[in-house]
Amino acid sequence: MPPKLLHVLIEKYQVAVPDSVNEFGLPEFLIQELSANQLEEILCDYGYAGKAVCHYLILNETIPSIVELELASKKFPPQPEKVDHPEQDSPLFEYGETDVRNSLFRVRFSYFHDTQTVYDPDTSLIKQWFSVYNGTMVLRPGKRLIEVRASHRPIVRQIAYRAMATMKLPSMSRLNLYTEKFVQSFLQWINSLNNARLTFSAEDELSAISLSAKRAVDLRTTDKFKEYFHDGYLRGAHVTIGKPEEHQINFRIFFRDTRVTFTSFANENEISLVADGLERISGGGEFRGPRKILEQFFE
Amino acid sequence: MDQEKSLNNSLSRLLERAFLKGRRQLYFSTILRESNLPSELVEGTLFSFFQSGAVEGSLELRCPECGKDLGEYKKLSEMPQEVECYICDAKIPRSFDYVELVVHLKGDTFFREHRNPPSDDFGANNR
Repeated sequence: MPPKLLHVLIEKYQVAVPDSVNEFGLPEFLIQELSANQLEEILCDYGYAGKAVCHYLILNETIPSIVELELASKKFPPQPEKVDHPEQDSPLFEYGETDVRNSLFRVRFSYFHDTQTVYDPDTSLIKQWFSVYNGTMVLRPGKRLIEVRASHRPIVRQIAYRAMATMKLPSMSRLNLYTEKFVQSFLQWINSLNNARLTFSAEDELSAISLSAKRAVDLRTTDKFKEYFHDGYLRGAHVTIGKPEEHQINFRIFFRDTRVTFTSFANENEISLVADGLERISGGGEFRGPRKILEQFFE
Repeated sequence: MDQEKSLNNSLSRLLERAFLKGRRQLYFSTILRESNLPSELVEGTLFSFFQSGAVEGSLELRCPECGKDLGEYKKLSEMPQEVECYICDAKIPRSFDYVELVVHLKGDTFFREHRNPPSDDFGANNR
């Protein structure tokens, strides 16, 4: 947790920090000073959040209530104690938990990804094993957007499909954020555009360009951005939500991959705010396939 | 108009490259991913390819709950009214919502011609 955030927590829970405790000793000191309830609150807010990498998908209906989700999560098979032949990128269910504080339900998965090769000097053998990673699916009752937090993109759909099939949730669609309409609305929603990555069509001499604004400058107001935005397609952006005098949320969005990476240490509430914003702007804009082609040639 | 031509060329090149690599069919989602262009633009350009007969297509039924592919059809009308997924038992009604468009590439000649259509002047001088 960054020191700045520790100070926010000190202020929030009104903890008196003696001068003898330095920055490095702060986390330990806070653990001792705060009550179990307060620590649980912090865990709920930041335990699975922080600089999260969130992938978004959309359900065709709204997510059911927490009670229904809790019941549904009991259908998952228990995780095997030992996996003899780990399968790369195949998610294993760990647990499902309700976060009453943030009104959401989490489904935790683990998966194997990347092989590690190490020489064992004792046996003179080269050993190989898979690294274990964790992924979390976040379900917010009453919403349609589902969020999968995982570092590796290939696993996202598998986690979502496995959870959907086991929990018998409504069917899922791909969310389409890479449309002119969404990008335009998104640019109006954010408070500041800090960096933009634009791509151009094959005929253009440029393939892609990345533009970064100077500190305290909003890229949207610059002529250079307007010029390139007119000719190219905004593929990714680093943006800020919230006014300078308030608490700000910074994140990078990849429109085509429907992925958001938080660059400021965000809590669950802030991540929900971004997810809600995306759902609202996209208007539940699931990708419905190339309708014009389908209806014309495949009826 | 220039943008339309540029998109046409860009997509033609992508399909031609795929064909030369031995790929005879591509999912619409793959074309979207590889072209790096917004979906409505790709759809518009691909629509003209379908119209001119440069590409053909088929529909792959996908279970919306477990993602399993459940057969390929030429037309939606060929599909049964309801298909039951043998993996997750989901009942999938006949609808465009649950299909993936598969684009079949017929040959690279079209894409080359489509990309650089010979102008009348150029043709006249060479005849």
